[in-house]
Amino acid sequence: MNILLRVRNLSIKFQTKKGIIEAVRDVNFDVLEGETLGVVGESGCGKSITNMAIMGLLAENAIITADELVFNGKDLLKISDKEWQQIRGKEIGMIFQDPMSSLNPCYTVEQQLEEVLDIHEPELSKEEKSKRVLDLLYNVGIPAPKDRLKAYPHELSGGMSQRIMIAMAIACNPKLLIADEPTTALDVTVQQQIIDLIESLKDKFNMSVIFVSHDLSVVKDITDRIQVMYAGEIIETGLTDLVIKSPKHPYTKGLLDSIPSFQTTKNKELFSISGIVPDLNQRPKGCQFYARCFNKQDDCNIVTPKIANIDDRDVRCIHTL
Amino acid sequence: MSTQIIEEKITFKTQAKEFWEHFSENKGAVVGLGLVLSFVVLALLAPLISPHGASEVFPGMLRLPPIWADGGTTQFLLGTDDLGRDVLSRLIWGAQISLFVGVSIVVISTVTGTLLGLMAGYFGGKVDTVIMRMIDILMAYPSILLAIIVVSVIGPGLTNAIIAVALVNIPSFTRLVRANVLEIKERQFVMAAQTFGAGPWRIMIKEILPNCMATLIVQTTLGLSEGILSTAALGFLGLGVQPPTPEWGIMLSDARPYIQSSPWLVTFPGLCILAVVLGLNLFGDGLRDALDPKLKR
Repeated sequence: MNILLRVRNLSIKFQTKKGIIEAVRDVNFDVLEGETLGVVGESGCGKSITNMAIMGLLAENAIITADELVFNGKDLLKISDKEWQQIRGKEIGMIFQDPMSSLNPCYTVEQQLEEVLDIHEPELSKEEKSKRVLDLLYNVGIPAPKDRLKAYPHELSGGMSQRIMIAMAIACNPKLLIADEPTTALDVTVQQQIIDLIESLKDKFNMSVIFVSHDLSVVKDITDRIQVMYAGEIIETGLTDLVIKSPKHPYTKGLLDSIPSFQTTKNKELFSISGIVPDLNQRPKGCQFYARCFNKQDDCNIVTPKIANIDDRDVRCIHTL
Repeated sequence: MSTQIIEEKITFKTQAKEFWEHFSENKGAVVGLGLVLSFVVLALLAPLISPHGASEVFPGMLRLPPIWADGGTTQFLLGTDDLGRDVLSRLIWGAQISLFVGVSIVVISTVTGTLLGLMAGYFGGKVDTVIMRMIDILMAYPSILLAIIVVSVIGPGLTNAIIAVALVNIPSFTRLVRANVLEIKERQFVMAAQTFGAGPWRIMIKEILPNCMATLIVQTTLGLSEGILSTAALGFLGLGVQPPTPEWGIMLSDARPYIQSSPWLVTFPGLCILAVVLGLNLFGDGLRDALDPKLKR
């Protein structure tokens, strides 16, 4: 399969009043055509910032450096604002955590969808546009799409709003869909529906998907590969089954153990990883996870571990499990 | 094809109906709309319904009282002024001037003020600093004083008075829109619009501006009434529209010496200004409640 997105040695720094903060460093990954990549990690570990960098939408104080940041043959580090606008929405679509606030409250469903088509395909006639809009609503499984055209966002449920957002994101058949915690704000039954929808659209439109979540149990069902991030670094990446079944990095194991289960008795305390993410302003020496690791050893906080291939996956740990 | 047109007509009809349902719940707004509309009708029909010409002088019929007072005649329902002109006719023609002036001022100041506010709020940084410091300078002068300065530089007259008052009204729009933009641009749907490939101008005009509309509409109706008031004030000071134009402010100022002896000369133009301004303010509030999708239901 061809490589759609290639990221090599990506680093994202922020110029702040306290100095330069390195939020993401030494990030390498590929997204293949038609594959689903899961990105997992707790809040503030750099998942969303990495996605924003791929979309070219970071704040102005961000400094992005990379050896390679290539999407579909285009070097994203060198393109102009105009070219970015051509890529966003047309080649890369994105959906967000909170669908209710992602839709403009002033426009009906129909107007919002037509707006996306207007941006990228202004040559469409009025009839063609309304046909495309109806097709989109049908594709994302909106019941009675004709009646929903005139609905305002406040008249829609969360799941329905997320379906509309997905419709907007795939309106121009993008090659890559970035789903940034698309199910976090939805209740569990709707979560599964949205995940199924993304999966079916992926096959139907032959897209690649980057699925971001902090919940491994959500990611494991739909992703081909998984990538665990911690403190702005990728710490373990490999085929989903492999990583879930036999995690090599203590952090990945900690995340897996944190998933609540039906089976555990109610008196048993829920597992959690103690401690907090290190202050990115004063990164610790050596392994970033050292302070919270249950498997730490004396040499862990001396050298920063390099990512290395162990048992068919890449791990950033000296003493793998 | 024809069914489509019919469908569109139906949706438009229901939208208008829905708007009216919300709007008419607010009785004050309906009264305001009534007041404003009656002045609009007066202004439009001025040539047909005014009993005399606006500047037509009737020698020997100076300062006649209104019809219900002693000495009033049916010929002059609201009396005559110090030059023997019919007050009612002058008020009716004056409605034309006042509404024209108010609308021109509001169009100029809303468009410029909103554009400046959008740019200042959305781009931030240097653009924001430059625009807002200019606005601060404008705001450092008392508004009527600033209008007087502008008029004394470019000279009195209808057009110049409009320019002066429009300039004075710009800061309130800019600050209002900027404050709104600062809040709205952080919302998720603006980020979402960026991910769909919308450029900065499209985001400003199509995503952010409609969300400012609720407050902007109220400010526009207030600006309309403020514009009418300021123009009347300029006219009163002799710096706005020049006599013999039948402008309400000039009528007030001309009547000032007779405030004791012929009080109707100041009362009627004053009442007209009051009614229009009050009507616009009530109407503006009602509009906001009815148009804002967030306040619906």
